[in-house]
Amino acid sequence: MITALIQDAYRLLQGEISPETGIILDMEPKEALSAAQLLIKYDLPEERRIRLLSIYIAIKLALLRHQDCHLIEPGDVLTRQVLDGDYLYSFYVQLCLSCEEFDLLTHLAPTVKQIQIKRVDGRPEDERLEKAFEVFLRLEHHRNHGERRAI
Amino acid sequence: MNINEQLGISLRMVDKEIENIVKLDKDVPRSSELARSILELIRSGGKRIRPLMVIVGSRFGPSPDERKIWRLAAAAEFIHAASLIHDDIIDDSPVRRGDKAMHIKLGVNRALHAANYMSARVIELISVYSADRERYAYDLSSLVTTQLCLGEYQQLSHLFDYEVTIEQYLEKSKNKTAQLMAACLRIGALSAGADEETANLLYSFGEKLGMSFQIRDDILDFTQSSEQLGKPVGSDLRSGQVTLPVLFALQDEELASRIRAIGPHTPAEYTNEVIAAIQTCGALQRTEALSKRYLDEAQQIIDRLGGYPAHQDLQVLLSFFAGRDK
Repeated sequence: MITALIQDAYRLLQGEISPETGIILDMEPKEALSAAQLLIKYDLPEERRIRLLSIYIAIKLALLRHQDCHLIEPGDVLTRQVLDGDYLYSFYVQLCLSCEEFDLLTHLAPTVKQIQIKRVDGRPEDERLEKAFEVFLRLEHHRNHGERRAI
Repeated sequence: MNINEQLGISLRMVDKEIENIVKLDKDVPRSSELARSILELIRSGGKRIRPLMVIVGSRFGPSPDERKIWRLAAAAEFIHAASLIHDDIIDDSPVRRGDKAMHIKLGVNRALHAANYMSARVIELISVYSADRERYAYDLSSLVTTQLCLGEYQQLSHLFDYEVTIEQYLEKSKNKTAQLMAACLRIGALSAGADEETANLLYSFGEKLGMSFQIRDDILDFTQSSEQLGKPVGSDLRSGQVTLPVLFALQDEELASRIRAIGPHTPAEYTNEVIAAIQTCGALQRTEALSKRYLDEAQQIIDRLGGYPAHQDLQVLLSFFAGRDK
């Protein structure tokens, strides 16, 4: 089930990314494993689960593209790394908007920002991303659960 | 008189609003290198065209929410400044506005993420007004840089490609430059409650200014001195960018074969001669004519918006773009 979820999220993402970018989803599926495991713990429609994982993968891939750019000499490779990361960071926002995942975007925005601050400081804390997804899902679950009880 | 003075906008207020984006961020200590570097970049100058465009756009609506409009104006400049940091990394350009570029001061890795911080901070700020979801979604999607990136990809995929068409060049310029300028006017207008038709006209006006701006930029690469440019004359062509003057020059058969011989490893002396030939073959005049056509079309839009007192502000913007190199 997890493998299928990851494959579906990759497929969705690759289909949505503009072919003009030439971005290939070369991230190892294991990088999305724990996020996928997290998502299946919650009672979500399958379509939404795929969507949320694709948003996670877009941000994770952006983080990977901008990692270690200082080790690359100026030229085409560096340009693509920088552009891919830039595109993916703006793409995750568009993906959230097009899927009407407004609450998720509002929840993730400070985390994505804090990850950048930590990277500038030279003390990366990229794991904040997964934690932010976890907190979002937990809060949403409690909210929905609470609402049902109130009814 | 400066453009901001002509528009009755205090640049000091604009700058304060831009600086506040980082100063009021509780996650960034004011004494941190990140805050200092961003403030240095902001204080190093710039005409703040994009914030001015947001504010001008807001003058076409009946109910400007000053607080929000100024915040959007500052956000537009923040996004632009972030893109400049990445541009400098990509172009390996050591100088920005007479000062060391951020990646020279901080190193590539930290500068790259400082710019990412700036973009992410804008997303965070705008997502605060989540009560009005339609507006929030529109403002965010206008300011995210997906289109700008696509323009960069289009440019990258056509390096030293002399088969690129004028239509492809225009599409790239629209994505890379004009779209954000157009969006600035439109988000300003919509934030002030302007109707869709007016907002769309303003978008179109901004797009035409942006196109003219990019085309003019491509001309300046051939007409300004290396001192004015801060880089060798014809740097675009030397780095493989086939801009509009080159496309027009390619229509001259004799010159075309000489241009096509330029590649990544061509000796500078050879390229210098070709650049001199491009300067005198009439291509710059044809390019200028297209730039002017965009400005003429922008003028027609001003005429259609003549019922709004703020149409005079559009005239100021147009005059500024028309006389940018003077």
